[in-house]
Amino acid sequence: MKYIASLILAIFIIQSSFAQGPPITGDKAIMLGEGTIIVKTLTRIINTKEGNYVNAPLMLHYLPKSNMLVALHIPYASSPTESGLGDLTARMKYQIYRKDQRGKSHRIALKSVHWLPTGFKTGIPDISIDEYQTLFSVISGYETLKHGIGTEVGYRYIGGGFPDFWVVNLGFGLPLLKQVYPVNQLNLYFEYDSEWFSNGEKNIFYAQGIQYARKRITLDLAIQIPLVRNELAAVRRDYTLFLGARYSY
Amino acid sequence: MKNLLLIMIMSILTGFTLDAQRDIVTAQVDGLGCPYCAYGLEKKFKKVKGIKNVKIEIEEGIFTFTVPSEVDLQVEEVDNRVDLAGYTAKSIEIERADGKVDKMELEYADVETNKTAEFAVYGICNMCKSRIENAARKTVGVGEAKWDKKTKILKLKYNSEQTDIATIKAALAKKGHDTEDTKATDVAYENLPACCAYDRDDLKERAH
Repeated sequence: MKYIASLILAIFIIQSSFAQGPPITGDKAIMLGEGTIIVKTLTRIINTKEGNYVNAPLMLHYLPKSNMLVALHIPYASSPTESGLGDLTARMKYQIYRKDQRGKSHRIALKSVHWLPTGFKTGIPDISIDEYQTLFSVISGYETLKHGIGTEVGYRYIGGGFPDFWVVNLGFGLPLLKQVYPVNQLNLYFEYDSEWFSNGEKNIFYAQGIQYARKRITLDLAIQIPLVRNELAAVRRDYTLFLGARYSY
Repeated sequence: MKNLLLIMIMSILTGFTLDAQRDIVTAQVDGLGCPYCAYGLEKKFKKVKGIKNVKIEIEEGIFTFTVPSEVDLQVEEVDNRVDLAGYTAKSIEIERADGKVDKMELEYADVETNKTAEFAVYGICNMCKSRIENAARKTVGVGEAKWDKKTKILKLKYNSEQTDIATIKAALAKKGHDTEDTKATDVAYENLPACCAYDRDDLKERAH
């Protein structure tokens, strides 16, 4: 039932919102220009031994300047025992470096994300834990017409006794179709996300994603599997499914 | 029936004539690493009145469109809009309906700088910003130029063996922009587009 609710929400957002670009599980330093409004979603379904956890946010992004993005994510969350509003997040990205060349661009941005305790406790910070959390990171992106490479390195503070960790993400994008405009793209994504704890433990995940974009609508699908896991058995993420839709004004 | 046919022919001919009165804009844009980038670029130009025939060749970074001649679109405005979209224009050419061509080259040589400088340059809008920065960067020996619309301050990095402040100020004056001690000629000032016509007396008072 919760799956169906998430899927309906995702489909609803496909119908009423607009698309942007890659990557799927990571973040990008390239922004779409001053005054852009992006409405998107990226439903995350995490499978654990206890059952499935879902986070389906409505993401509202706005670029007040060509090098600055502010965003609010309003998530619907569900666990095997509870569902409702998850932890709201407020985000900001500020591009500090831009080097453009013909058919390629290299950008670096600073990012901060603040989670507010508006949800309920699930034991998985990416779903809802009803605690304050903050992430500060540096994102870098190098995008050409043949491939894209993205990185993110940051530190995530989590309240409520959860351990803080370093975030290290690396992603590659590979377009399968000729790059044309208006947009008609099929892209493959290979993304590594990792969490490094102060006690030396770590979680490393690999996500295989595919993305289809036509005109202003983009559809994302990715499956993320663990490569290294040091999580508690109850909340150990066996795999995560990402379903996304984006549309930009 | 004949009258109706005549009216139709006249309407079609008038349509062709109006369509011919369009300026063709071609810009070489860097940073278009994917088709999404092209979308961001096109969107920034949608507000230009009467824009039509938008075409973006991603691989070459060539962005073309047409606008009605009466819009009198300036190369500085095109540069400014490309910048607001988050990309970098390298060259802009506007072929006017009357055959005249306006050009702006924005590809600069790499300069090893050894000095910095700051001074007020008078202007009022984003088109002024584009013109001031481009005029400064086009001066041999200037490596970086950033002008702040609010404070009117131009921040420069330059090579003192290749140029000096007086030369840079002269280049700005040639484009119609006064500095405190180098004034543009009246002809250069009057050649500025209407939106760039800053109040020379008012700004001088403010500077003192």
